[in-house]
Amino acid sequence: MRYDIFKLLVISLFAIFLASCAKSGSDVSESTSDDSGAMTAGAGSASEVDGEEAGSSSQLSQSEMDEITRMQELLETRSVYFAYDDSAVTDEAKEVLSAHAQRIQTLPNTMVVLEGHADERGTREYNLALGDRRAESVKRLLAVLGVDVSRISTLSLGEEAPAELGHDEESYRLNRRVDILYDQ
Amino acid sequence: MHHRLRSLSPLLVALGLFAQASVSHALITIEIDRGTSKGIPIAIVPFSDTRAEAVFLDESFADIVHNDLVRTGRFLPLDRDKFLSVPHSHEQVNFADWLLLKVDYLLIGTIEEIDDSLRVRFQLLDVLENQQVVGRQYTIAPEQLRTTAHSVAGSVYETVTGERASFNSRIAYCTSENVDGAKYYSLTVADYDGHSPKQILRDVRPILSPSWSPDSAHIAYSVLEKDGAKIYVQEVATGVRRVVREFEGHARSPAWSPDGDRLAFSLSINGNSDIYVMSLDGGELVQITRNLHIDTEPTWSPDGRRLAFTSGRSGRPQIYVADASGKPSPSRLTFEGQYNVGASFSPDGTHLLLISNQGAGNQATLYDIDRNIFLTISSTNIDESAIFSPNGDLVMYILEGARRQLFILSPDGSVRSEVPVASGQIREVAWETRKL
Repeated sequence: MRYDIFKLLVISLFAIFLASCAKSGSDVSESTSDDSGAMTAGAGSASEVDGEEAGSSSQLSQSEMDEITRMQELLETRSVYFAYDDSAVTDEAKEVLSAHAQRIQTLPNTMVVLEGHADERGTREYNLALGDRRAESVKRLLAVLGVDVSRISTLSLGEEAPAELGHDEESYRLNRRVDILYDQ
Repeated sequence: MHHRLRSLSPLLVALGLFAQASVSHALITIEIDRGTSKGIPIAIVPFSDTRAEAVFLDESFADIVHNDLVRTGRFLPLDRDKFLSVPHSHEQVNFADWLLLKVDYLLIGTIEEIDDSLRVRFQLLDVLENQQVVGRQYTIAPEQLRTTAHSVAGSVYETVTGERASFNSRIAYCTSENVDGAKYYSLTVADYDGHSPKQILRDVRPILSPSWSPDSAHIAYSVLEKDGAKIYVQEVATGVRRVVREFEGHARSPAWSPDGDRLAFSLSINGNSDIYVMSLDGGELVQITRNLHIDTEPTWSPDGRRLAFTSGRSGRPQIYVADASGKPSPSRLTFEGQYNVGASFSPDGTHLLLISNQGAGNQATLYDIDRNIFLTISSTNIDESAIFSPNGDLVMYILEGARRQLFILSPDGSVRSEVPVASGQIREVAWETRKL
């Protein structure tokens, strides 16, 4: 599984490289079809890339394109969510964090801040402690996935900085989170 | 677990404070549950006032006394429009008028100008016995009229119930507000009823957990600064403050000991919070809890020997108690309810006031420690943080939700009234502990 992700990372970086070639006005066809909007070079079709302009050639299958899209979606997700009064990392969160773990390892100078949060119910201090535990849970998982812990710092804001200002279950759910912040 | 502890030399910060904030007192709504009310019927007659100009535009002298007494749940003042006469001295009283209205007590008085001072006289009369129970006279500066009204209410309360009231006490509260797209946090000191608010701190970072020193000269609080949460001690009168100690980790939830010498607090290192007690003279540091679960919100017993606190060690947060010396190991107090947080001792030490979820939401609840009985006193269920007044005659709590509100609740839960706050949305409140 890890090897596949690494392969996807390489492919996605390559795709980004191709996209930048497209922007500089080469012959590489730019996608106008929009079903996988994340890709900017020849997506949505059996993509043929102009080998000479790109410097090498690559044919990406549909499933590989889907994986690249999925990878980018995971990387664009900057928050992972938790159950009420809980700090255990969910399976969904693990998927997102795996993608970030890989990315962090390819960016050697980047520090990451994990900000822990809680929904507003209950006392501020208890929610700060809960935010601490959530951030720490995420940090531990990233460490297990190979990230150097000296690159990660954690901070809890408890209920003080909600993402959603509503007072219903859905707002609460979106506030029980850890935000992943990249610090250049 | 290893952490470095260094004392910081005092950081002198002249904050140039005491910004007067404005609060509207025009209408105070007091909700009385007459079904559960056990208030003693009393008639509070507006004092005769021969001053050239009234000092208050929002509350009269009698209003202040009325509101103080009714909020405790121990008194049920009669509506003024039912009065048959308006006496101001004993000789003017026709007791038959008041027997008819079924009041037990009658409070009457006068306010007069004498040169630059005011003379305030009051008499509390027992309607059934047809005689004066207590009467006093004060000579005061005009600025002291409000305080004097609170003192009169306190005399009435003490004479009738035999217990002390807290009407001249103060609170410190935290608020947050958005100004021009930026969020600010404030710490404000005010009379317990919200009057005369004075902002003593403003920060772009969250301010939490204010705790008064027993002599009310200082307030400890924590600030969530970018490089970590820190505990400050600030002198109320001057604004001078210092970080109590530097820690590796987040120092939060300070609680001043009843003897004024120590602070209990929670220290969070690598995501794990534990309770510690430190001497304010920079000496000792005692670790009270040692486990990998949430331990926070320490609160002192009135005799300064024990600490109650919130712990997640049994799965859900519950209240535990430990000896302030750190030995023996803490023991669990609360076994009912799925969520028990934010505890504090009643001034007589027999109860805890906490936020408890027994299935109906988070509610301000009294817990009888010896008898292990929970009593929900709030009729709302999104309560956050509840505290006692210094003499235990009143409770204050915060209601969460779209419009956060600060309420005074009588300890029996029968009377609720809102406290107006300055500078934004109420986040937290601390009552001074001095018994005046």
